[in-house]
Amino acid sequence: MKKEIVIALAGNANVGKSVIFNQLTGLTQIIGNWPGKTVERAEGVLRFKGRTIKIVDLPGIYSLSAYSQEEIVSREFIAFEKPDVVINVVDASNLERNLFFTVQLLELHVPMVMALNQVDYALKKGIDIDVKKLEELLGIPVVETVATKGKGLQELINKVLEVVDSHKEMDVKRYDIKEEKVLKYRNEVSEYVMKIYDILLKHNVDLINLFHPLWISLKLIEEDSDIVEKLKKEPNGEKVYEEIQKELEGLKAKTDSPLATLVTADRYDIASFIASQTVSEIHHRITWTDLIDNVALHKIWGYISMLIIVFISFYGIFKFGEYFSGVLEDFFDGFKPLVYNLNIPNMYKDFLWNGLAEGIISAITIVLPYIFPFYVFLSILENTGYLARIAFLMDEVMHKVGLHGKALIPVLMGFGCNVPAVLGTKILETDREIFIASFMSTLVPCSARIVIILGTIGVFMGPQYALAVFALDVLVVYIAAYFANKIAPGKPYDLIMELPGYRMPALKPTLKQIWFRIKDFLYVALPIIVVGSLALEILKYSGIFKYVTYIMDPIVVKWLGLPSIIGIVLIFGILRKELTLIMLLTLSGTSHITQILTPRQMIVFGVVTMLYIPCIATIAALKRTIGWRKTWWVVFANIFIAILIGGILNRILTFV
Amino acid sequence: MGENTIINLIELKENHEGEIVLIKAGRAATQRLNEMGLVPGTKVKLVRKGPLRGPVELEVRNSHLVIGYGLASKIYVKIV
Repeated sequence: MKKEIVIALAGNANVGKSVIFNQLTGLTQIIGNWPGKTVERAEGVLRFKGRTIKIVDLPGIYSLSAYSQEEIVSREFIAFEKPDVVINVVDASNLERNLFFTVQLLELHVPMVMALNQVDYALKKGIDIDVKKLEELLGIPVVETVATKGKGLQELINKVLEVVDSHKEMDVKRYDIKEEKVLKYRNEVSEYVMKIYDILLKHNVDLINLFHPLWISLKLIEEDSDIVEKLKKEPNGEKVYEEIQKELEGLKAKTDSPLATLVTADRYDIASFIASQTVSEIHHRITWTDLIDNVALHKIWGYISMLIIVFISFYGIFKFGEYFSGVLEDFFDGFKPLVYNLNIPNMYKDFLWNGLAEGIISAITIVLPYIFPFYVFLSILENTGYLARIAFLMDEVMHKVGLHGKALIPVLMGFGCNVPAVLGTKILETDREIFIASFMSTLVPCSARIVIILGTIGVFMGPQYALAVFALDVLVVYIAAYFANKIAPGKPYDLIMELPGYRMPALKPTLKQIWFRIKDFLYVALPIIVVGSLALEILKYSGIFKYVTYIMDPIVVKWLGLPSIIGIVLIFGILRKELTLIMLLTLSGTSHITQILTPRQMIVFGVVTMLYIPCIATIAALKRTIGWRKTWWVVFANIFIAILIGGILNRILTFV
Repeated sequence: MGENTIINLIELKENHEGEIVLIKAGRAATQRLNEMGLVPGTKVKLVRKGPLRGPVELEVRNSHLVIGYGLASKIYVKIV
């Protein structure tokens, strides 16, 4: 009995893989109702019946071709890491499309179990699936699950163990496509699969030990670039490939479609056949999704409702934040005399209060009250499926900057935090799109920067000024992307996206998701803020500031018209953007920003902080996504844009 | 326009159905469309069009797809 087992979760985007992963491992993988969140592969461990099960959550993909990095990553994981079992997670309400991917996994002949997920939702849509029949046709165990409620997961793992224990290695040297029960392609395709297989066998091509011969042969018919490369690298590979190409001439002569289309069409026919045998639609209801979309995607009402939703979110966050910020501030101010009545030298009192307490208090009273409602709204937009509607509505607008509607989803996530936004751009197809979208994401104010603007401009000048600053930012992001599109080489791609149905977000996973995001603030940001505040206080006494300000003053004071001290806080802000505001308050010993900044300075400060540089964590994410060279380009572009716009505002805003 | 007329997908009226006969796009684009279930012979219903040169929403294989205008204009359908 195998003690250590590796299983992979594979399936289309947006079917609940991440939810199953979280339920099984207890880790929190960010979930949401839009296609393509698992951009980096997530791993977790489950201990069950004395066995250690490593679970790998592969990215959500529709196919195992070589058109995106995610698809290649997934199939190479399956080939090289040889998981003991692949759990194919399938959306029961959308069986046919999901089966297209299942067919490809079947072609790989890996040990499999199917998790037929969201069966409750399927039933609501009036779709009933004959599980026994499905098992019989596919030849693998099928388990019905409702991942959000944890239903069926125990049985799923039991089945996985059964498959592991009964698994036998097959002989790839003795394969015959005629023995396939459900994988029935048109005769020509089957015939050529066997012809190619014979050539591969004859030349002892090693590739068939890595991927199953059926899959390899189909990939060679499809002229899959990555597999062709792999074949050519083998000894004699060039010649083998030539022989295969010559053989395929015969197939090409019989059809006027590209060969890849033939294979894909056959796979869909198989998927359609299986669906037709197992799915019975009890009644075709007009769904809520159809009704809502009549408004939400309407040519006029769609845009109006989008604006209304954005405004409601904005005011909701602002009002909630303002109220609780005030309550918490009153509470913490009561503690100040406690420190100052202590019988210790004044310098220590400053350290204690300004360095330690003020940092924590500012973080809790200013940042937390805004971050919390922000993540509530973001989770709702994400989990209901509304973000995908924004992608539909904004597709044409995005086209002007060389992107398509789907690119807006990661960019919008940037309002939460730029790090997942930048990493999330990997759902896009080309390097060019990934570059433009990551660049856009860095200019989108994350929750920290939103807080700075709401907590200063919003509170002391009025929410309409804060809104104007955000509107200015939208313009800046758009113009910056326009230029990035002009200089980036290559051609833009068009949108293809599945539109998910609306869902009522499940309470527990959503709360967990909100908590996970806030936890990041509490555990990662708070310590940095405290250490940063303390370091600042020490530096203040060491007298090093005058050298720093000497260098920064020409830009900060002369060009931007800001107090000299801003230069210092901007440097610390690279660690965490919240630090800029918190340190400014700490250094001036007040929580009323009006005592340090005039309204004009407040706007310039807000805009500069919003744009001036990606924080350390975002720079790291950029490096992982687009490489160092482009990352530096983005960093310098941000600095340039911030200084340029800040300076212009300082000159034209003479009336405030 | 009667039955069997071949038109461009974007010429299809909202809530009308067609059957894909041809995809006239580059190799990669064709493959992407194929993999999302749009192959010759597939029945599609045009649910709605975005404003101006906005994307189209299709109902295909019991699910909904959104396709950009440029790509959609490379798909030809037979009215059914």
